[in-house]
Amino acid sequence: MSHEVVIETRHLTHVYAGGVLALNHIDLKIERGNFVAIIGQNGSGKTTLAKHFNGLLKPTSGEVIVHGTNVEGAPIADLSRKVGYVFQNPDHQLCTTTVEEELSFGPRNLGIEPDEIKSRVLRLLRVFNLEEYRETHPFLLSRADRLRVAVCSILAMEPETIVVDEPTTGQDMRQSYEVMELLKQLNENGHTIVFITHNMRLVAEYARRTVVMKQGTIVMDDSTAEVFSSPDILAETYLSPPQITQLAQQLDRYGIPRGILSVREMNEVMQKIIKPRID
Amino acid sequence: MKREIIVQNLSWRYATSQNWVLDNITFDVEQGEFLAITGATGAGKTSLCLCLSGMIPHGYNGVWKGSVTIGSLDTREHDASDIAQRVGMVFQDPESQFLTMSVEDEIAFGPENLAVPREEIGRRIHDAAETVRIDDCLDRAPYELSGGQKQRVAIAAALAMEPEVLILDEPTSQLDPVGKLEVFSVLKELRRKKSITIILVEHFTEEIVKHADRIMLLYDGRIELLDRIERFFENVDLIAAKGVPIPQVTELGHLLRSAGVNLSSLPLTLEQAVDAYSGLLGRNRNEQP
Repeated sequence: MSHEVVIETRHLTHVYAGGVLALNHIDLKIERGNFVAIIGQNGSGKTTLAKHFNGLLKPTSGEVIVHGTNVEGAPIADLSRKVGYVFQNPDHQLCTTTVEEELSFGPRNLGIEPDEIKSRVLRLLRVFNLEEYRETHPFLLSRADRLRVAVCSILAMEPETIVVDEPTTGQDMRQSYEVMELLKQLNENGHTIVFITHNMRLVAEYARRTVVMKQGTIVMDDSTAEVFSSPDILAETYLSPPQITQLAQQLDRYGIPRGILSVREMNEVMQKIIKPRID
Repeated sequence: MKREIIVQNLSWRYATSQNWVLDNITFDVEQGEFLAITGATGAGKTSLCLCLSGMIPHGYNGVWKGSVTIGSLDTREHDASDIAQRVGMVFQDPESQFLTMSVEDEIAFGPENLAVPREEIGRRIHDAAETVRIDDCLDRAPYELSGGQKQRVAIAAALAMEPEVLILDEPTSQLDPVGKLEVFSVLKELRRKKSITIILVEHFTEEIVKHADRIMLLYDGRIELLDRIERFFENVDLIAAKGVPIPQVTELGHLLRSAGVNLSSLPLTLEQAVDAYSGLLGRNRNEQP
């Protein structure tokens, strides 16, 4: 991860028509290559914030700087090359009559060569197990498959930064993990990932950094282990750490670290303490 | 105990589907029992709920085999309004079932259609609203409410029919963490107050274990596993292989056991886990030189 900032907001405020203050002076910097979760209850401003990252929403006041360019006045086409946004509801972005068309739509609009588009599309269909649906109308697919098509259609543009708004709605556990594993792989290849979710287990297992929102403000922005070890902030936002982290915190008197984030990690720590007795 | 639901050799295929969506399903549910149903997307959970509520076969085209009996009613021989008095249904998206402009009208809608006397409707509204703790919102429009409140209104509307069975199909999947807890606390309250039979489709096994008596794992239209909570989770590998999450503390117990640590039973809840693992860690510390 570098120190280069790919997304920055300065005093970002957004007021919706009707006077609802959705974002209140948000200052945030996201560095290239980071893997960031945004958490908070419904109505805390997560989606409103994320929609500023590629110009889907414009600030009421304050600034948003994406890859060094102020989004004010920047053409959407330029922004979407840099930041791809996957909607919470895939039906808000699907717009063609076959899955292959859907995946080709973005890169074609960016003026990518047809051969290159084809190879990107075929690769994505293969990775996401969507090959059999190549000629299928997206709306004939299940919701879980439509979400995967929506993710692929953004990935086909190969944006540097990928923002995914709730990758887990309507997905079962395995499908949620599939989407997260793909994001992880993209992150390992250098892409910056921002995701919004209510699933704290996924936050714990994937996000390096976690931003906690409440009523249009950021109440904490730190490493995920640090966030899940801050009971006051979590109580204030009605969030709970994953069950395994709660367990670690209740067993800290036995030398278990309070920032445990996965079952695997907890298993290793416990075995180190217990195992010498058994062996 | 009286058997409230009897499902025998039930198979169902929609007119549009190629394979059996439900394939030879047989099980009973006792009166007052809380059964959770889990399984990956496409396992047949929603179709099974629709069969239990009579919406299949009455509202759908397809091929049916076997039988479903609710109380003493064979669902094929009675129409939707008979069954609706016995079985209440709550869906994933509460908005999809709202029809009126106030919470009170929404709760009254079912009993009004059954021509229940006015005073009786008033009593039912009061009772249902109190159970789901929405009594302070009766004048508000359902669409103005938070996700958790909306889902509580949907539950109250189902309860106002005074059904013997309440079926909830992933009622928390579209809610934020606060909304999820609201719904689970209502279910807990329901169990405490009433002898209603509850069928809950849910992936969030960490909550299921606190409420349900038994869990069914559906896979590919078949019952893969159906057992009391404590025995069900002895099959960690099978459950995980079918795409259903295991409570994290249970998964940990399974890993420790596999590594040779002696655990008499797998913890299912956080409280059980704190007890069991404190025992392990404490004993270990005391015995060390």
